[in-house]
Parts: sequence; structure tokens; C-alpha cells
Amino acid sequence: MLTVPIGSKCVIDTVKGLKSSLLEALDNSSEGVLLDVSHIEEIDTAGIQLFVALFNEVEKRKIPLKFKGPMKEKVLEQFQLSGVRYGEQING
Amino acid sequence: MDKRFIETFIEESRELLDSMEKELLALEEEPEDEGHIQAVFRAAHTIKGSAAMFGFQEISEFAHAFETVLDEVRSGDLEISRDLINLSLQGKDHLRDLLDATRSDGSVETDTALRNTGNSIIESLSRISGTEKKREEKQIVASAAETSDEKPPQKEESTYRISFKPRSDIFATGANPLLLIRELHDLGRVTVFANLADVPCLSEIDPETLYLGWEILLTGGFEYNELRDVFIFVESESDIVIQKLKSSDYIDSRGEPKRLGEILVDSGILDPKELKSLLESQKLIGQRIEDAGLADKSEIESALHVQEHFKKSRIQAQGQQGSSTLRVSSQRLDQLIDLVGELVTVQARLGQISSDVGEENLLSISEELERLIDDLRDNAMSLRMLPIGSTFSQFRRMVRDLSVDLGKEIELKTIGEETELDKTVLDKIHDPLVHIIRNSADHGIELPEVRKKAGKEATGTITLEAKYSGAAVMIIVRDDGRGIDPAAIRKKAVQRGLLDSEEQISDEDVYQLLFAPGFSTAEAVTNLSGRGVGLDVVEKNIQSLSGSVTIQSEPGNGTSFILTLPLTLAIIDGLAVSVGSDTIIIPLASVESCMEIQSHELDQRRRLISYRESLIPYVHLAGFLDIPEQQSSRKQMVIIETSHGHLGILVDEVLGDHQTVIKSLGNMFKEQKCFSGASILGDGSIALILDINGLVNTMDTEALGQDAAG
Repeated sequence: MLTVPIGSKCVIDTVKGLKSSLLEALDNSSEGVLLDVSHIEEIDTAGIQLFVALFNEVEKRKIPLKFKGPMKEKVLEQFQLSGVRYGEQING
Repeated sequence: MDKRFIETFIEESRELLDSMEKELLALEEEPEDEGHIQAVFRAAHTIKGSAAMFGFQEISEFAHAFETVLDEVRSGDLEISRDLINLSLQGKDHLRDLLDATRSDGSVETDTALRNTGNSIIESLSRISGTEKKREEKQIVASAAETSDEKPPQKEESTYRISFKPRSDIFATGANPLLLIRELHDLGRVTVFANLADVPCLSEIDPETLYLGWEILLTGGFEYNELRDVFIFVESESDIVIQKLKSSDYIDSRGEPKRLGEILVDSGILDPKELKSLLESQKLIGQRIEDAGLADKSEIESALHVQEHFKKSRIQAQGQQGSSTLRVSSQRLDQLIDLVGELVTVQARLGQISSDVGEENLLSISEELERLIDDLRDNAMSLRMLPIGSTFSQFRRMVRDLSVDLGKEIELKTIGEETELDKTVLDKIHDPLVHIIRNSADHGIELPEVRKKAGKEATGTITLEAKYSGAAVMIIVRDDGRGIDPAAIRKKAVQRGLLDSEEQISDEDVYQLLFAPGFSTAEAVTNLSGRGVGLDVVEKNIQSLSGSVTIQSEPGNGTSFILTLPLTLAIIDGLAVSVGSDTIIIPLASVESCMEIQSHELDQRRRLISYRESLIPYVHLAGFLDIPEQQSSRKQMVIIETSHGHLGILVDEVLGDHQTVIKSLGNMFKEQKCFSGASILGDGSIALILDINGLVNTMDTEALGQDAAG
């Protein structure tokens, strides 16, 4: 299983780059991807939306997706604020 | 600070002030319409914020004080009165003055007078709001005295449902919707559902576009306006529906709070059947979360309801959504038009050369290029077209102020605001319209008591109407005032030597005399209803736009000024004709038909020809312009439509249509009235553009002269 680290920033300025690196990882690993979310310091609406899109993608391709956490409290809080209920799921 | 930012700030603030004025006037008419005060408040609020950001302390402070009073109006603490609207308009004017004093280097040059004006407006505003408050306080004291044993009322809690769907490009504005949701938490208890239905999968997503939407329930003891203020800066970029829920909407019979899904079904937003089919079709999304054990079924149902609701509201909103726009300075547009003009001219040369050479390939390329340039021209010209509504709305304030000053009751009605005109034309008709409307208000509309005596409504009406008429636009300023008596003008004209006492002319022509320079001066005001003061200037301005102005009036019932203006001043479709060795362009919009004619068919003495079973006058252009004509018995007659009816123009040959880039003739030729400009032909030679109205007027004068001589 391929481990993909997500940097400290998952925000509008970085989502484009994140999208390409995530797609690349998915393309190269059929047996699954392990996403390291423990280093995220900052996330905004665009970042959260990218996670939703990632969920949709793995669902479609049937690629197992696991997370390496835990996510920082303040990041989790952003998920809760947004009403996107994936934060808890990511944190396992 | 970057100069451009400051310029943008000033420009945007000016626009906001324009809309503020419009909304204030609308507010006066419809005080119960909440939208108007919201818009006024938003404008003041935005100006305050941006001014503070750019360090324009004085503007920001004034806007803040202004906004405070507006907020009282908004929350219903302050009643809308004429005084309040007057003061608010003054406040708006003062903000404009402050902006005008703002220099692009970021400093504001305010003098004491300006500062004093600002202070006195604020003082007056706070006096109004102060008195209202005191009155209210008294009432409270009075009611408190009656029920002194009761505790002051607790702020009641209410629940709102907020559908929030920002526009997909909202990230570009720097907005982060999460911050707004966080702000909502400050107001009360919040339940947020994100609508994920539109988020595509990773390979398809544009990560910088927003696909998410939110459905939010908020309960707390806050003011409705506080809730609105959270969204104030994203309102124009979002679909926001705020709905207050009744307690029965969200508490079930057991006193338990209902699920969001139930609420939505109960409040009629969603049909239970729709919900079922939706559950089936979107099982995947729900299943995924359910499998993860994160949410129970009813919660998923709720979320699905929300999604469906978003879809519905989006369909409704689609009609209202404005297309995205781009701000471009008019200078750059002018440059574009100039370039297109050059292109048209060069194309004309290419067309000429390729037809001279007669090479088939070259000809077909030239024709294709011509078609493309035609489209390009139409496109470029349409960029400069603006609806006349913005010009009309500027007069609302003027009429209002005039009616206050004159002690009259005047209503301004506008028709055809969507009619589009070239920006240059729009800019130039502003002053003439001011003049005409001022005249109508001042001298046309009677005082209320006079109107009542005459059996009219006390409120007079000035109607501004714009409509298309061929390639021209007609702007009509109509009042239902006292009208103009043609006999009085006749008398005056005879006195002035403009008219022979024996001469019989139509009423329409009589009214036209009002445009004669210096015809009506102050002493004529009383007996001529004051019309005609400076009207020669109006006519001159309109004529400089190749337009015309006429007057129709019915004594006792009112007067209409009818302005006919060309749609554009830059490039027109023309009909090229030859007279002798010269080429002359006739604006195609005026041309009705062309016919071939033999010299012997012409009635050369009376200069009349028969056209569609009636006799119409014609002008022998070569003779009129004193150009030697071509020796041929066959001629062409171009029939044009003028404000005075049909007119024939006898020319040697009709060459065909010509895209005419109008070049002005310069000061040297400003005295001549027959040509409105010139254009460059394909072979590089120059063709003069016939000014139809000028020609008709010149002909009239010459005909009169000839008749007098004969």
C-alpha cells in the first residue's frame, strides 16, 4: 500500500497540486492508498471539498483508502464546521 | 497603496452610491419593501468597509455614522419620512463629494466647508433618530409604569433555516464560506448539513471551483438583521434563502425537536414521494456513510432531503443568476472601435483591389474577410451599447428635487429603460435631457391647485420614454402640463421678424421656431409658458449627434419633446452613390428604396416625382451641391425617409452598400449643414456622408429664399 503524505496546508492555494499528486498515487497503486493526514495544520473549504472528491474517486475505482492519523483537533473542527461528516471517518 | 486599487475603490463606490440613490427613492415610494433599505444599508456598509481598508478615515467615519441611522430604519426603530429620505440623499451626496475629493495618491483633500456639511448632515440624522428614540423611550416608560411588577421581556429565541449556495467561482473573491458558518456560531446553536451531491470525483474536479452548498438551522435570540449581516458581502455571489420557522415546524407532538428531513417535508419543501425515489437513486452516497457507521438512517435521509432541496432551488435560481461580467475601461473599448474602423477601411481597399485584379481566390478571401469583419464590427459595437435606464434613473432624483423646490407634485415615469444606445450618445444626451425635463417641471407642469381647477390630478406626470425606430432611437419627454399655445409663439415670431405676419405655417413648424437662437428669452417666459429658454442649445447638442428634436403640444394637455438619435456614431451602414466624379454616402437607415429614372420623367420645374401614387419632392444633388453631373439620361432616385416625410435624392449612380467609418470633418467645415462627416473609400479617396436632417433644413431655407425671389 502506497503512503501519500499531505503537507501542512490543504487550502485553496495548494489544492491544485494536491489533486495531481493524489491522482498520481491512485493511478500507481491498485491495492490501496494510505493517506497521511497527521501533518495537516490548515484546511479550508476548498481543502475539505477535495477530500469529498477523493472519496468519490476511490468509490468509483474501488480502491481501498486508509488514513494515517490522527488529524489535528483544529483540522477536525473545520470538518465539523463545514457539515461534511468525513472528518470522523478519516480519523477512524 | 497601488493607485489602481484606489481607482477601483472610487469607481465601485460611485456605482454603489448611484444604486443607493435609486434605492432611497424607491424606498420613499415603497417604504414597506424591505429590499430597498437592505440595499441602501449594504451600500453604506460596503463603502465603510472598503474606505477603512484603504485608510480613508473621513469617508469611513461618515459612512459609519450614516449606516448607524440606516440600521435603525432597517430594524424598524426609525420610521421612513420625507425628512429622513431628504437627509439620506444629502448623506449620499456628501459621500460622493468626499469621493470626489479623494485623490489617487490616497489622500483626501477636504476643506472646512465639506467637513461642516458632513457634520451637519450627521447631526440632523442623529436628531431624527434621537427624537424617534426618545418618543419610544417615553412609551416604554409609560407602559412600564402600568405593569411595573413585570420583568423586562427576555429576548425570544427563534429558529431560521438558511439555504446557502455560494456561486461556484466564489473562491476567486477570496471568500471562505467556513468563516461565515463560524460567524453563525456566534449567533446561536447551529446545525450544518453540507450538500455534497454536486462534488465530482477527484479526476473530474476543478479544485478551485466550489461545488458545495449548505443547509443550516440556526436557533438563538438574535436580530434578523444580525443574521443577514453575516452574509452581507457574499449576498450578490450566492443564492441565500433565509426562512423563519414556526415552533410547530421544528418541535414534534412529543415536544422533541424534529429531524431536518421531517422539517423539510413538513414545510412543503420536499414531497415524501420524491424523498423515496431519491433515497433509491442516491443509495450509494448514503450507503457509504452508513456502512462506516457514522450516521443513522434518518440523518442520511435528512441530508438527502437537503440535497434535493438544493437542486430545486438551484433550478429556480438559474433564471435569476446574472451572467458573469468583466469590467473594461471605456478608453480601451474606444481603441477597439478605432481599430475595427481601420480594419473596415483597409478591407474596403482590399475589396477594391481584388475586384480590380479579378483573381478568383483573392476575391473569395476578400469576401470571407468582409463577412468576418462585419461580425467583428457588430460585436465590437454592441460592447459600447448601454441601456438608457441608468441615464433615466439619474433624473428621478432631479425631478424629486425640482418638485420640492417648485412646490409641485411631479411623478416621473419611465418607459423602455432597456433600450440600448452607444455610450458616447448616452453621455451627450444627458445635458439636453436635463434641460428639457427642467423646462417641463418648471414651466409645463402647473401648481397642484391650478391643476385641480383645470380638472386634472394634483400630481403632474413627466414621462421619459425610449424606443427603437429603425436604426435610430426615439427619446420622448412628455408632460401633462399646460402645453404651449402656438398662437403666442406665432405672435412672438412675427415680432422678432422670424415670421411674416401673413405667412401660414403648420403648428409643428411653429413649435420648431422655439429652437431658433435667442427666440425665447426671459421676457417671453410669461406668455409662452417659459418654453424655449436655451432650447437652441438643446437642438445644437442633439444635432451634433446627427439627431433631431421636435416638439408636439396640445394646449391644456401637455407637451412632448421628441429626440431622434442615431444608435451609434462610429460605424454605420451607408449607401454609396456617385454624383459626377464624387462619391457620397447616404445613411442606409434612412433609405427606403432606389429607382431608376429617365431625365424626361422628372418634373424639373416643381421638382416633384411620383412615388407610390403620391407626389414627393426631390433634390437634384449635383445641382444642389454644384457638382458637374455625369452625362447620361438615366439617373437613379434614392427615396429617403425624413422627419418631414419622403424625399427623393437624384444621383447619377447607386454604387452599393458601404460600411462607413465616420470621421469628423473638423472645425473648418462646421458651418456647413449638409454633411455629418466623411469616410475613406477603398481606393483611398474620401466620401462625404450626407446629413439627412441638415439637408432637409437647408433645402427648406433655400426653397424659401427661391420662393421669395420668384
